[in-house]
Amino acid sequence: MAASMIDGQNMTKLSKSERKLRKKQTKSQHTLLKHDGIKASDIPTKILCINNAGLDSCVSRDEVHELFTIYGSVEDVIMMPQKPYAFVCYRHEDEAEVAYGNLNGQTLPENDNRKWPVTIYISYVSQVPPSLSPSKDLPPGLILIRDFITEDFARRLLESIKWDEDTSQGLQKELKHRQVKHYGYEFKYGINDVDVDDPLPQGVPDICQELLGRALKTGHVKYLPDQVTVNKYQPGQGIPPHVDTPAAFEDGIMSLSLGSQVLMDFRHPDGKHLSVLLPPGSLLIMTGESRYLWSHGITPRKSDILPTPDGRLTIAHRGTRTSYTFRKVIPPNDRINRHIPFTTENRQPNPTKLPQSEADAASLEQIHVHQVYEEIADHFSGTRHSPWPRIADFIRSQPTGSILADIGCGNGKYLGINKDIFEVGSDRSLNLVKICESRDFPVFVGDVMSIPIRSGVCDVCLCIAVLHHLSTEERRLHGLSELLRILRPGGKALIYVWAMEQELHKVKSKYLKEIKVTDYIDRSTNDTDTEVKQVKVNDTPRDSSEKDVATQLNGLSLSKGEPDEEKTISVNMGHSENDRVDGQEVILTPLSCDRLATSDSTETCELCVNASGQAQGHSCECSDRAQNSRKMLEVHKNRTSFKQQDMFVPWQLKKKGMEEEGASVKDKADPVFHRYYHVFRQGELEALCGRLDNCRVQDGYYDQGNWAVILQKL
Amino acid sequence: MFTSPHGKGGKQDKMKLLTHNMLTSNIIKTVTNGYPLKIVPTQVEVKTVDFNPEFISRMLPKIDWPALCQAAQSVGHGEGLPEALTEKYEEDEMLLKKVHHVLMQVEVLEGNLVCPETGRQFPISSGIPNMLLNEDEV
Repeated sequence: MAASMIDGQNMTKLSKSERKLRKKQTKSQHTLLKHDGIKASDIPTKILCINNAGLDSCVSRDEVHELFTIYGSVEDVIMMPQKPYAFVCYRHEDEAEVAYGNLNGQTLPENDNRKWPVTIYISYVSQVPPSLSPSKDLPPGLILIRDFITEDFARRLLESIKWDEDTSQGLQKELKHRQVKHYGYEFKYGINDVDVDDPLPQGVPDICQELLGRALKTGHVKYLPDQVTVNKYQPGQGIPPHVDTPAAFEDGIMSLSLGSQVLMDFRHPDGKHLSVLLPPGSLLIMTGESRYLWSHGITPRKSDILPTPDGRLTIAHRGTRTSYTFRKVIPPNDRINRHIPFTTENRQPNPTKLPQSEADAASLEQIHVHQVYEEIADHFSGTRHSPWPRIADFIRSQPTGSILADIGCGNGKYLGINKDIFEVGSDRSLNLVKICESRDFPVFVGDVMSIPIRSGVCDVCLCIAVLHHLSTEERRLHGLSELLRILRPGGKALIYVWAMEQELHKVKSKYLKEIKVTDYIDRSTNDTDTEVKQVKVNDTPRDSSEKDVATQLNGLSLSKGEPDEEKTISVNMGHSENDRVDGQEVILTPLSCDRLATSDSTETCELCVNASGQAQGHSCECSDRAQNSRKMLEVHKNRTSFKQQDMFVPWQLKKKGMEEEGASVKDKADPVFHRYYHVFRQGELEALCGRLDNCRVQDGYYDQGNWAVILQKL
Repeated sequence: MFTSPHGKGGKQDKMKLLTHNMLTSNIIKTVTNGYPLKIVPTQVEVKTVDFNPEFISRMLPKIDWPALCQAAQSVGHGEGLPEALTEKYEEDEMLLKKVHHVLMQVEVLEGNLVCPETGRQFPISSGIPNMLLNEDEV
């Protein structure tokens, strides 16, 4: 009796855990399907999706490979960055079936990579994410012509490249991910451009002329290319996502694939991702939107997953692929005043997500920080005149013979303050650096992420309004560690970042308080009955004197008729009682919901619905809660409190000569650029510094809407 | 390459050898020995900068001396620089003046900085070295 009871309990227990397993599995498949376009299959497939065995679950590729090899010959294990799952590809379906039977629901013990065990759940799959398998659609403007050249011609073309001869001339370079060779002009990666005055001895190879002639006849390409870049990719090599420099090359960029197929990733700034399979012998032509707006790249991987004619999936190993990229260089004189389609100006950054991978982050900063400063440099510099007193005092207090590096020097307004020290400036923006140079300061073009200064050489570092342009905490930390690296022990860094808190101890920052008269007059469309009495035009810090966009004043409550002792226009602060009813918040909330609904994140959307349901005027709290996963970046309204830490801040460009023509400016639509910012909460900068053990925070303070620290290197 | 005694670029700062003394290509991921960068100048200028002996003597211990000598030679101003610094350099005004000249007055307007390990070139244009890396090199 007792024995059978125990048996009975065991039975129940087993089926209970089975039920639990099935439930978990269904849930996990459902999640995968929803988020990443993975379809589970009811019938066995040779490709398995292993949930909880991905990089995001702290499981390594080797660990998965080792485990699954026990049950058959594994063709490849594909790990995806920041994903909790992995794909295991067996040669045969029956091997996959055995592995499924033995490993589904199995718990992997903790190890060096992780301090906790993980339970894996396996699914057969009939569809994998777009980054692993070709998409049905092509980006607009993209043309793919299969079998553009014969196999025989491809062989001759490959043989015609003399990889080993030209090393001394610098025409051939071994880049990290591939081998490269140029004809016509060398494409210089440091400036992302060619030097038209410095053509290579060998122009476009003769062997290419016939195919180029045919390419032109397709009508998709208007200009005969004069620059050729040949890339050789070994299996496992790739190229990071990029857009070919819009100002440097004409529309219609061609890429001829030789040797092996590869999957090319196309990404739209709004996050849309399409993968295009480039078979050997095919010609890809990027025109219009696909050339200017979508980035393209190749994920370093040894295989891709392709659909078979019977609707299943199979693995295709990559071989050595050589590509010919054909481009027509735009001569410098023709670049002036040239309209570049799909440029960053006026491009709506929404909906863009907070970056999840290093590549995403770099690409976001490229488009929404670097390119923007490049384009607004003149105007930006014109709004930055006088140094901030506390920063200037810090510089003046440095002893004679000190070496000071101003990393992110902008137009160089902190250079030349102390004549007894050596001050050198660097900025990511060539155009800003050019402005410095024309003002007599030693400068170079460089990136805070890799400061080209030898370690320990600087006595002092300035880093003003730079770290808040880095889009992940790890990148901000890396920037900080670079600053410390170039300091000598005992050396000091003064760091300023824009603060989330634009109002501290009930004092509003200049950024909130003040607004320029031209901004108001030119752009106020709704509040026509508001009078402007007097406006202070202050030179506020680098990031606090932004010009404001057309929408900025819409719906803002200007302090009409109220005592105006400060004689400044007071703008909606976001925290006052009034603004809950002025419509602004109400507009924002549904907008963000729309965006979220089109994204693949149900959680975030629900949060957002909840938030708007509560309708307490804080529309974006939801985004904060989903911070690490799928946070959407909103466009900030200038001169208002920040609603989230990560966002786009608009910059309305005033073209030269337009500043004085008040009335006419109104008619012309000034281009608006969106800069990415991460504003820092109180204590965040110190906490970031605390993550590095070679420094000590000597002082920390708040200065007009910015958090500042003085760091000492230990 | 040519040197113009009084640069027509006026008083604007171009790449000084002091700046060069700080720069490295060690930021390229694969590079471990990116210092000093070789200077391949096509245009060099000399401009007049006020001599401040205290500034120079305080700067000297921070300078990588062999790198400075090599740089000075590559722009044609290496003459008269000792191979190594003596102990009492702060009392040697001739030396300080010579160092002042190469550190502060000699400027590279056009040319390239070349990574000693990989040969990767960083262009100097209008006196501004461009040290940005290609995404593949980071």
